[in-house]
Amino acid sequence: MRRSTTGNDAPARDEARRQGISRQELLKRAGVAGLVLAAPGTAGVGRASAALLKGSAKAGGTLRVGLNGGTSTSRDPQFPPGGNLDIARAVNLYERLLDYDGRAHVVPKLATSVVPRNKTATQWVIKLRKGVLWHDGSHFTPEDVIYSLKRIATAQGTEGAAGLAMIDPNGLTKLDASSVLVKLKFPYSDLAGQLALRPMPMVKAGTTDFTTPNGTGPFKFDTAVQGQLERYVANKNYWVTGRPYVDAVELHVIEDSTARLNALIGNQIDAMNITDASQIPAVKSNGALFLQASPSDGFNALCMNTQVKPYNDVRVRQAIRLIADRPQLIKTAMQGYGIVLNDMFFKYDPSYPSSIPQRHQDLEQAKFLLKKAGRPTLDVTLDTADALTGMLAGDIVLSQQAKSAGLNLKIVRHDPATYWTTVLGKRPFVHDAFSHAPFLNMCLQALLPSGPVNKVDTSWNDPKTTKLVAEAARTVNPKKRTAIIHEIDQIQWNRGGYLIWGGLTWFDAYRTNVKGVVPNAMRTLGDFRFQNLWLA
Amino acid sequence: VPRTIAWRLVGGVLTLWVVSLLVFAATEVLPGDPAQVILGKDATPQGVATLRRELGLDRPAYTRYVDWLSGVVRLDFGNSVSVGLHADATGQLTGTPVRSLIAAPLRNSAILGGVTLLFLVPLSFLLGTAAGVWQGSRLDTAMQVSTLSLTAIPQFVLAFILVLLFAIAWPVLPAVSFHASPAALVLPVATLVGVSVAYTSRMIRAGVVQILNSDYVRVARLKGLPERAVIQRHVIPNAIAPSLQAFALMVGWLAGGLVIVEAVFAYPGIGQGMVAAVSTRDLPVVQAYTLVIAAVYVVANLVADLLALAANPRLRTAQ
Repeated sequence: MRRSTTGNDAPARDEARRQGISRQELLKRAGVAGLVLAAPGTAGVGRASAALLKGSAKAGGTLRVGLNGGTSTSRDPQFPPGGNLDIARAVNLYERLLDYDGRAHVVPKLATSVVPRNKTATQWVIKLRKGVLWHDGSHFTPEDVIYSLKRIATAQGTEGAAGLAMIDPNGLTKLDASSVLVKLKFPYSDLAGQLALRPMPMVKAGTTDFTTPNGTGPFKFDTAVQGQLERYVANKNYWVTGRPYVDAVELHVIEDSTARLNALIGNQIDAMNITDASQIPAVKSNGALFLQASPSDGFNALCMNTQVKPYNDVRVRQAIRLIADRPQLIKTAMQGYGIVLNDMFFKYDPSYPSSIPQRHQDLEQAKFLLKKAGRPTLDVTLDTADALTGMLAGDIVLSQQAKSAGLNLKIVRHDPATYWTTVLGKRPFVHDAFSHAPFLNMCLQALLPSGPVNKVDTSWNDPKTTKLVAEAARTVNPKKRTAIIHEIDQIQWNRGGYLIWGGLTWFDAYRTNVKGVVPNAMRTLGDFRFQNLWLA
Repeated sequence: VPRTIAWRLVGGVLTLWVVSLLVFAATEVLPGDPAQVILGKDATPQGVATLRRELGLDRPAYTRYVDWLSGVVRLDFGNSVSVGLHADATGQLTGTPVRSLIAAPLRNSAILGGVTLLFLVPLSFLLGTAAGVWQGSRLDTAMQVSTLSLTAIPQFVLAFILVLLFAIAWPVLPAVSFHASPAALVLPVATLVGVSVAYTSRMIRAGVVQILNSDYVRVARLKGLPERAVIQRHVIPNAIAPSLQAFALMVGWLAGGLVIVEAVFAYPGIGQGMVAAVSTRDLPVVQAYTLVIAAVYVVANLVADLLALAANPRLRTAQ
């Protein structure tokens, strides 16, 4: 990996620069974040002030972005996105109560704080930012928050409704002009993490027609040509002073990766997402362009069904995990970009246990474990697809590595379009992939017997884990909760059914006159936060 | 003759109907559906089922086909099942009407195809006639070799070479064509002309060669007409009719063949619209595009047949 976002305060600095806030507010906010959001990492925002004041950003111009995924399912920001275009529109025109910064840490947005009102984490008070205006000029109010949350929580079958499953839609009350009381159906200590997720946008109370988007975001909707182009203009009333820098953003839909690069080289666009890793050398060797590689908080995960032979034997699982030469996998399957992972979720999560030692390849130990399990030579089948960068390539490399430990790992390749929905859950050894999620949410999804992800991944059924997850969900105190999470992680590291060897990396290319570009662990193109970019 | 034409028309309509059946069946067996694609890999089975119901995808295939076909007859292609979804007045989830989705791409592709023909037709005549008249000369050989090698290069390779030359190495033209503007059309049109000129000019050359060897040309020469007049008065008019058929077929080929060139240049035509629609399993849009392309193809073939009838009287009585 060439760049690291951990152990480096650049992202914190950039987050502050991106928020465009005064030193005073910055320090205040740093306090708020540390106290309220219980995210140890966010306290680091305070260090950013010096760099912030150095700013030499220039305003004006039109930022032209080329991206794939241009099918627009709906302009409703809460609707499942058709592709990158829908996500980009949602984050530039609308905002959430809380948000994830470039390091995947929760930061305040339309809410200044989200605090528990009781010790059991079933009642929460959301304090709203004052002076925020909708694009139509009206004020952002508690009524808008109640309307939006209710709308999200009751949209049956959507990601948003699943994410707000803990919220009682009838338990949302306005306390005063800038705060809302939220009652939960069951204790949930990480409400903040949920509210910061993508499908949680705030919309103006009563909105049912989203044809002309009306958000609070840094950009206002201007024009669109179906399937080709969307244009947004700067929101002059944006609550972050000095943002956005550019006057307008144009999103050009260019599905073909080569055409996208040609447009960038030909100066028809200023920025693009790279979907074909073979373009990286061409970008790096072109003096007019630069490459932004963002190690992400998403990861590849090989999932062994812990209820099915031979994976129900913990020694087999441990042996398979020991077979992986992780740095080698990153080098060959991920073009050398990506972080080595340790069979646990979300390295960027503030509660990630970095104290647990990194697992390395140990073929002798793997052979020993397989022998002890009565399977000195073992034939297994991994069902996979070429659906993501490094996915199939990594599986093939792993099968080569497995040979030296007496494990015959057979790769069965499926159609990428339907792999996730038809193969996952049907086969005992599969390849899944994740983008960032709040840790507790991930536990509910992937480690509880009832979790939908668990059902298709590892079928983990461990009473101790179940008990710990419930305890973490009740525990408001961040320190205590982190301790519980470490226990959950340790169990996964010891006995779990996931082999998680490396993080995914986003690749973007920019023309050199685009400034303010920083790595972003959430999504490609800096999670589409164009308000932070300026043109030299 | 009217009976022949009538039969051809009936045949065309039947072809279109079979195409509609095939397209429908093919899109039915495509793995995955719009609900799955929209909701993505994190979809819950309930979520997919709900969305599928809201989009009316849970109805049996034949019901959807009959509904769709009855709409198509009235030139109503229905609504998209993945673009611009919103709840309508009755609370039913509806997408953007297909007609408004495909209008602009169709127009753009028509412009690209039209401009291509505008250059292709005169160029083919020029090259074909010259090659035919000076048959076997160095000019003829050079033309044969160069046009054939252009044809041998796949469309996308020729497109990339042109982009590399005229948009990157010597940046005078845009590398991708966001709009149907004159500058943006140069490279896509050059690509299309490049790959098809060999075929059309060879058709014309063959026609010219045949006519040059015909009796009436020999007679014209024997009665002392200058060669120039022979070619102008006797060869070219007679070569036009059969080659019109080649151009009619070329129109049909262009209707489908634009797809690759459009993808390479990110040109906002039917190719791009079609690829997007397939990737989201947007059945009504895929069907509409396919039917339109098929219709153009059928009509072009029909015209080609009729032109052939007109050019060759023997065919008229061949029934």
